[in-house]
Amino acid sequence: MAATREVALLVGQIHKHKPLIRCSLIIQKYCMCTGSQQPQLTHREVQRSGGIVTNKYGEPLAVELVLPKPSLKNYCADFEEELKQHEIKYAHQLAQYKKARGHLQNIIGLKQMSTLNRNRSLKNLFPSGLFEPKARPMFRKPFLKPIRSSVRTDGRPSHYLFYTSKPRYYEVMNAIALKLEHIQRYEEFMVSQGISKPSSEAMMSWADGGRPMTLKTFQKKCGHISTQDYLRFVLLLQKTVVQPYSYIHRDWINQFRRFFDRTRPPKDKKEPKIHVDEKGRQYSVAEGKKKTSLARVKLFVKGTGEVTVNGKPMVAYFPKALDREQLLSPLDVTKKLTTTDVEAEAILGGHRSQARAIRIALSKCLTVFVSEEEREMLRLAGLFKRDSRIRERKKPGQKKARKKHTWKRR
Amino acid sequence: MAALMLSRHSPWRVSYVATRCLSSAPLPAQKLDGSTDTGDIKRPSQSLLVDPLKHPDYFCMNELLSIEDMFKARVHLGHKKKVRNRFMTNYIYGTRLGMDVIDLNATKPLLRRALNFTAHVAYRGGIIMFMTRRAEFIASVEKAALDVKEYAHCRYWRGGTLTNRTRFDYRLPDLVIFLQTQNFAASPHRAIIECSKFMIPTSGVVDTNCDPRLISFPVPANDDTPSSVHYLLSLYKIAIWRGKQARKLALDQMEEREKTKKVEEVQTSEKLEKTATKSVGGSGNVPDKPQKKKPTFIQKKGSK
Repeated sequence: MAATREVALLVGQIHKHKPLIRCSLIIQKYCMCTGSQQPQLTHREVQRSGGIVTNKYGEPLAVELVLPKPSLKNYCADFEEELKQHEIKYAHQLAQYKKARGHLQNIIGLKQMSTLNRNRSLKNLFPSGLFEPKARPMFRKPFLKPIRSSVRTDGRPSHYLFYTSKPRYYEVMNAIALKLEHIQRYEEFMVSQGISKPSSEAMMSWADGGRPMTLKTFQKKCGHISTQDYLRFVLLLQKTVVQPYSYIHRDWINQFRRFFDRTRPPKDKKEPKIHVDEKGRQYSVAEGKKKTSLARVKLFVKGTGEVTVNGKPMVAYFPKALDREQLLSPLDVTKKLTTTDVEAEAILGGHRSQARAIRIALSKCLTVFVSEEEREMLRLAGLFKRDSRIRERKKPGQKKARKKHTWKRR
Repeated sequence: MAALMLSRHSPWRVSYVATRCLSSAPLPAQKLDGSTDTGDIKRPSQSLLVDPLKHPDYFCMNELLSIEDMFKARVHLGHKKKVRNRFMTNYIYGTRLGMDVIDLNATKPLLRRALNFTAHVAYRGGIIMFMTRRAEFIASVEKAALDVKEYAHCRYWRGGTLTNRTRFDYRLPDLVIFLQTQNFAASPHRAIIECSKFMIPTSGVVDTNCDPRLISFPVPANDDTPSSVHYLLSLYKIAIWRGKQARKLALDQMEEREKTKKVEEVQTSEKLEKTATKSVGGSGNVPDKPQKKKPTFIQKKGSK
């Protein structure tokens, strides 16, 4: 009781003189500890603190906090000087650079020079036999760099993740991680309420075909980042999207995703044009590929079913029935075997791949002359698709691409 | 016991770093305002005035600390006995079921000291950086840094982030706070070495498997449990916030004082003028003299 009265007295005394005391005045009742507990300040510490009123444990009871004059000089003085020195040095280097550039331009007699021209002229003026290009005389901009605008004048960076060197990227990552945490907490809450899963409508809304934004668009947002960092972003985003309650932040998360508009019709691919020859017959031309072979096909709409390949009749060129079947399959699908004429040219590759290449070219030619339904039939039959498989190279130490030498225990 | 702990835990580097950081602003009690003349101000009693840098708990952080709270936040739980760092034995209360238990009586004064230092740095406008390498704490630590308008580096630490920088138009941090002092490989965070190279003071949570000698202001506590880490993080946040508030207050008051000083100066100068004119009285020759001179000068010019 005695102690508290003493404090009260002190408080009153200080309040009376409040206007006289400099800076802020905070009065705190210090360390209310009972006798059983340990003293929270050592006696020595109290002594050091300069004769504060203490209780029997040697603790201060009331402390007047007179704050020192704060000034940026405490931490910034050296930095400001450094910055000034840096500015002076940079200005000096820049002036030297400009002066030298002027001299060089006078010597060469050109008003404006590209860096390439400048280097060339330097090579002529100061020929050097040194092997290492870095050791030869060169003309380059000042080594020092101008002061960046992202830092304030007191040297405090403006971004809170500045020291990570990728602040914008990590800001996004942090934001997504915080949302993920929130979603998970929400799920825990719902489970504690007895709801194990959200309604199916909310869940299904994620089947919207959205995918993470591409690396390029992400780089526009976050500056230049590596593919490794981008993959980390994709993983984190997918993790958040997969959460059952992710729909609570759907709009926010969707800013990092892209969508394919399925209602929009696909872009029209280049269709072969309809030509008319000297005899007045309509025809179209298209090209096809398979492995290394290339094919070009001329399809006449009205004909008798004549098919020639490289000037020879088809039967003579493709003795195997399988190749012929392959070749004629588009006409078979659209039932135009007997009403059309085909003139095909094929080079490179074997007979099989040539037949395939002609097949693709032929179905492309047909698109101009058939209905939408028939075209869809061709598409479903896979007759437009270029076979992307190519020959695999032979590996050293092996007989072929995959085949190994016979293994023998010795 | 606590006194013993404190005296034992004062390696030379701690005191040296501390004095070095604050040596640029030694403020004796007599010159609190920076002004040389303090004779005209009367204080209630000189004994009440404290040198803020010598004061053990200037921002009253001790009132926030209680052993009960720490216990509830599971600050006392350590690692298994066999991974104990031998320099942590001073801060260990005992071992139970093979697990070390941290002595909260030893933690409390050290935590108070660390928080006090943090608040002082914030008060002087220092740059404070939070660090951790645990994935589960990254989001909250970075958010904490944003909340108190300070900095965080919880991601991959490129060697030479501090020591090998290419630009010199920004300051390095003035205090680095480690929520975990170890990295994934259970070895000290590489930033600790870089900080020590630049004499940047560090404050950090050291668990029973960490080396407290590497940190300037270590806090023996549990650095694995989320509740413990969030508890300590919030304390650091409060310390920074208090330091910044005090700074804001003091700066405002300084501005006000400068304003009043200017007003007073103007008033005194007016008074002086008045007294001067009064003392000169009827003799009004002084202002007339330059008027007479001017036309002669112009005439000379014109004649030329």
